[in-house]
Amino acid sequence: MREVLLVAAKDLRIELRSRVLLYQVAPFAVATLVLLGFALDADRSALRNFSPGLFWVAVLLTALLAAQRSVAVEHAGRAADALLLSATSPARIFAGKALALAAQLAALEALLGVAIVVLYDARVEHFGLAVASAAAATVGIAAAGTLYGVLAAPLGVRETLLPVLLLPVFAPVLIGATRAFGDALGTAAVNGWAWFGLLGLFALVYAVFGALAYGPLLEAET
Amino acid sequence: MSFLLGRSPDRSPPRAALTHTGSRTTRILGAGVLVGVVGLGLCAFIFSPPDSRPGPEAGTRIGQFDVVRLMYVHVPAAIWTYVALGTCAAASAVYLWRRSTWWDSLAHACAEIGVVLCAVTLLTGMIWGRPVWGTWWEWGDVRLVTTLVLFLAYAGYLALRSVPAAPEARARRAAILGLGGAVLIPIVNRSVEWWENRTLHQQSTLEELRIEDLTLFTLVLGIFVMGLLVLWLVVHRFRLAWLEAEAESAGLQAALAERRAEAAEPVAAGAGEDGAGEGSAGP
Amino acid sequence: MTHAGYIAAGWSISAALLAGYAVMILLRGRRLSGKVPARRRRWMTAED
Repeated sequence: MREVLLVAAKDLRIELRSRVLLYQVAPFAVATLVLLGFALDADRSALRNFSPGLFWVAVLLTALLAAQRSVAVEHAGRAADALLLSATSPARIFAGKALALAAQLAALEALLGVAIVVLYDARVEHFGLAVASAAAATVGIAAAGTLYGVLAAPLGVRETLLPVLLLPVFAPVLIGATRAFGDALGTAAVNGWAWFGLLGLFALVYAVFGALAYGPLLEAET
Repeated sequence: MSFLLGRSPDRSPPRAALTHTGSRTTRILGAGVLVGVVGLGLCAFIFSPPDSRPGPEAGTRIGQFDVVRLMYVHVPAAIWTYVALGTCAAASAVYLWRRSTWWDSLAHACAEIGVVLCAVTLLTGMIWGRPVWGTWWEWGDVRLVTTLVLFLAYAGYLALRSVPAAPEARARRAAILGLGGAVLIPIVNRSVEWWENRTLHQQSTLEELRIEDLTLFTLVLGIFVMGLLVLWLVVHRFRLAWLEAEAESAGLQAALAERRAEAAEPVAAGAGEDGAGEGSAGP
Repeated sequence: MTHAGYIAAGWSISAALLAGYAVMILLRGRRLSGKVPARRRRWMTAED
């Protein structure tokens, strides 16, 4: 567990020092929301009705950038080799990196959450459900993003390949999180907690799959 | 499963250096496919009746009428899509365990054929849906949406495979991805099912249609013929993958030999270009 | 025959895709075969 936290802390420290998240990824996320507002013709009721889906589309697009960033720091100066040499097990490296990515995504989601309340006039009716389902979705996105990120990382075409690989994987997250948020924001009459369960299942499956698959993938890079 | 590569060479040496991926097995298989396609065409268009049954009001007929003839392509393609991509996932898993090129090539072959069949499934499904459901695309249908996500996921798999990389590393990445697709599909299926809690798709096509004997026979024949075709394609595509791997390693050997010859020369004229990809990380 | 256009489109698109793919595989196989020594192509031992 200590090693997991060490890896996560390392990634977060790099992020804090480079400020890529703050200066590049966060503005991108907000700009996406603004463009979606234009796309829907700034229709107040339409924006509020679709706010759960628009929120999660923005999160997923942002997650693509964050996942790319998360593997790029490993590849600059072949830091991944040093990580491997440290004799930390691949599963723990995976957990640490996914944890760091999840923390970054959570910060971005908080920002986007405020933005949809301000820009789209969204109203949170069930705060607990919103936080719980966002947490489950975030863990799932971070696990899948870390796994597929390292899959595409060493290739010269990372920027174009990663979205192709990741977006189909995000499809169930988008469906589930949109529905859960629909309940939490009062725009859809569904059972949000059932969707929370689906998101949790996704997170669990990809966390386990990622932890198991990370070893062979790191090996493949050397 | 050794039929994929044919008999071992030590038993009968090659008579002539043929330059294609065929063998007697595939020729027989190919002839079978051609005969089967003709038979399927006859059954689908001439012998089998259109789908129609008495409607609720007297004197009316309801049903899919002649559009049902598209089912004889659509259903077999759908079934074999799932079989081919399932085989890809299974072969990927075995590859991670055994680490042999054989399983990697099989996974590659099955994925490519699965994606082609998936495209056929989606296209025929849309063309069928337009007259029957009145729309090209129906978001409320679980199998439709799931199949589209499956198509995108394995198109990504082929995209990853098409990127030049060291064969060993590429195989490992592809195997994880191939396996990931199989992990993904049940989740997508479940989520879409909950998403729109209704499905237009016949739970089983066989139940909704009042199956005439010939309709059922034609459907089964279609599945059988498509199976033969898939087998033929897999054998050829597997051999192609095998050739690609051989040519790749032969190219690498040649490049290494060239580099060694270069190094042996006393002239140190120019650094020369370095290897293009990670695959040619030479000394 | 009802919906003849849809049926013709569906069957011909499927046939074109599958046949085109099969031909592509065969042609690529022919092109690559020349680069690989015969002893590494085991199926070549078939008698004909």
